[in-house]
Amino acid sequence: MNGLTLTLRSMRSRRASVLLIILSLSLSIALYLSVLGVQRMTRASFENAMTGVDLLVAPRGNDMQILLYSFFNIGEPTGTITWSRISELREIDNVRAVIPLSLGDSVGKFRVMGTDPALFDVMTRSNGLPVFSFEDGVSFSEMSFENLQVAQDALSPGKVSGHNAKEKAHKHKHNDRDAHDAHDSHDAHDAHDAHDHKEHGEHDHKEHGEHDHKEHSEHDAHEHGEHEHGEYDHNAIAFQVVLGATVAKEMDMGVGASIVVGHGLGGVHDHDHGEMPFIVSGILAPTGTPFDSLVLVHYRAIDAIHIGYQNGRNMLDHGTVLSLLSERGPAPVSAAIVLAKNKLGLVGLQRAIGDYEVEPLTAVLPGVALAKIWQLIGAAEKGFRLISLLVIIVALVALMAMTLTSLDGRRRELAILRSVGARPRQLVLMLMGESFIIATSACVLALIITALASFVIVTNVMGSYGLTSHMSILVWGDFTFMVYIILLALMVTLWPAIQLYRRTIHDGITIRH
Amino acid sequence: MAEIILIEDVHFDYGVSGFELTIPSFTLSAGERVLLLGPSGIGKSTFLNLITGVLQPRRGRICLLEQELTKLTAAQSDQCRGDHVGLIYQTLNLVPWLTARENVALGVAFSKRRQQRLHGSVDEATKHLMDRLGLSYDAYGEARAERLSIGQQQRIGAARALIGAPELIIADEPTSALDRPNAIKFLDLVFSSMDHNVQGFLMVSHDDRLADGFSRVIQFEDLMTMGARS
Repeated sequence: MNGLTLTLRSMRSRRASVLLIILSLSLSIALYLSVLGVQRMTRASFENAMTGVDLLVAPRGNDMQILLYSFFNIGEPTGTITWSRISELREIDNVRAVIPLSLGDSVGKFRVMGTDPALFDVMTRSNGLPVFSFEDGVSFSEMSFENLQVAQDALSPGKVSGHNAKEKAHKHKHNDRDAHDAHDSHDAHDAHDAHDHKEHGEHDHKEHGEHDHKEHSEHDAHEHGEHEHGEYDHNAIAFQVVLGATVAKEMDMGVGASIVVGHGLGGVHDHDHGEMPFIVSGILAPTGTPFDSLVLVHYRAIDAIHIGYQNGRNMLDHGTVLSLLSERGPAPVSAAIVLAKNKLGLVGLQRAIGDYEVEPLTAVLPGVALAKIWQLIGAAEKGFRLISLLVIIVALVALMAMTLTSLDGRRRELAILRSVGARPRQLVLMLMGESFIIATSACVLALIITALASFVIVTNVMGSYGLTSHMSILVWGDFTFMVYIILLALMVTLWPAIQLYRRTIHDGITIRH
Repeated sequence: MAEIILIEDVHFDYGVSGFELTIPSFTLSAGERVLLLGPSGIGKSTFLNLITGVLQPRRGRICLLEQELTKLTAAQSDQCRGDHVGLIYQTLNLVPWLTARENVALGVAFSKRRQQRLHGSVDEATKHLMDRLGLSYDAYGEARAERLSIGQQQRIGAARALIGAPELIIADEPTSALDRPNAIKFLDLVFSSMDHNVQGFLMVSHDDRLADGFSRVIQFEDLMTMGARS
């Protein structure tokens, strides 16, 4: 039997209080590590999310607000940019690409973003690799008005919600044709369908007119692939949608599924665009950016579903909508991603865009706006850290109190140990050993709790913003911090240890009750 | 016989409390069984702390097996006590969170010298002593100390004092919680477990009815005024 065995046996005899103190200390350490870890992961994932974006252009406003609503889906757009400005931006020398972003609708809790299919090709990470790749299917295609007309006619008899659509799509794959193949050969089919549909569409439109729309729609739906039980020939559909990885996963949707876009932002919709459902053309691979939580459609599709939309429904027939869509230019958009040819000229480009007089715009450097956001919330972060540290201090004080309290009940035990030759110094070491074991156990438990907490936070909280982090919640600095905690635990035991030393000297081998 | 304890002209006081203890002389030799009688508060515990090296006298010599405790450092005194002294308390003799077997083994935990004196392993020595003191090792070895009766606890305390054969066994009112027949039986068991050629026994008590079996009985008042030599 040695000092360590005696220490462990003594702790075991007081296991309830020892376990409680380990638990409280580990929870306080885990709280602190989680706060630090979440801060680090949030920053890293936000910075990662901005990868490939050189400038964000939006109507004149606060750059932090622009960054949050246009890219992180937090808040709402405050204005629009006319399409002529978008065209002008594309004419600037240093501009490689301008990707319009049109916000305002949603599918369930996920936002719908109207954009340009070029988005999937032009955005690259700092290592040169593309930001986007398709896990399944392909991008939505450029809008073809011939397709639109026929496609919408085909869809008009009823709307199909996204629910169980994946199952339907799968069934469709087996029974009809492979949806993926269909999309791979999309262009070829498009050409054929466009011709086919144009003939049918024009014919129908002329022959039956708007008043007879429903009747001919039903006929067309049958002709163009709609089955009696609500399935569609995907190649006939021009309103396509690409789902972010998180959306596809949470809504359990695959390529070929049908989606109805809800009007406006927010999870509960009184009104939707059921007259014009979308078909999923592709699923994005996870990007670790807010795009994972977006439903991406062509910006012209956003225009289409809003033409004639009043009081919760489309007041115009499809033919009129499509005619108006083809006559009108693209509607104003909420913001635009600007990619520069030469990154060194970004500041100049930002200034040039900001100097537009006709239509005041703000060009946001994402990194600068993010830095401002961090600066703004820095005080709150410090507050959280401080509170977490205070909780640790409280737990350490509890450790000291427990050790001090236990001394009174251990005078007999200490006298017996002294009678068999234990030195006061050895008894002090045993007491310090207890604190070491308690603090080390608490640190190990804190690591486990922190790892579990990080998993929950990353999957549930950050995931809801489309943010993911491949970064570990723990860094080497955290292990150094835990060494400090162990040292602190030993320090707070010093006072009880000094008390113990004095008592053992005073009591000697005489047992006190 | 070799002197285990030698005290000469020792004076001790606690300073502010005004308590003083003077021992002109005292000796205890190997094979001797000394009973020191005196009422509570007279200074018996202080005396025990002095002869075990826990307290240092203001003046005088205290020798344990020819080692002058007054010249040893605190650590050396602790080591000397662990190596050469076995202590039996009156009650609450055991560490409550250890088993009976572990409490006995505790007697040699801090002394290599006592470990070396064992015939066989610590467990074997523990078993031998427990069985000899009438407490079956197999039945009570793994019993928690707090679950034993007072009499059983006293015997485990005695086994702890005896393990490793320390030269001096000190008993501080070990029978105060026992009735007279059990007290005598307990002392008989302890005496029979000692090696009278090398070990000495010093017991402090206020019960003079236990004097039978002791080679010397000393009143504490007499010790303080006249001293007591073998």
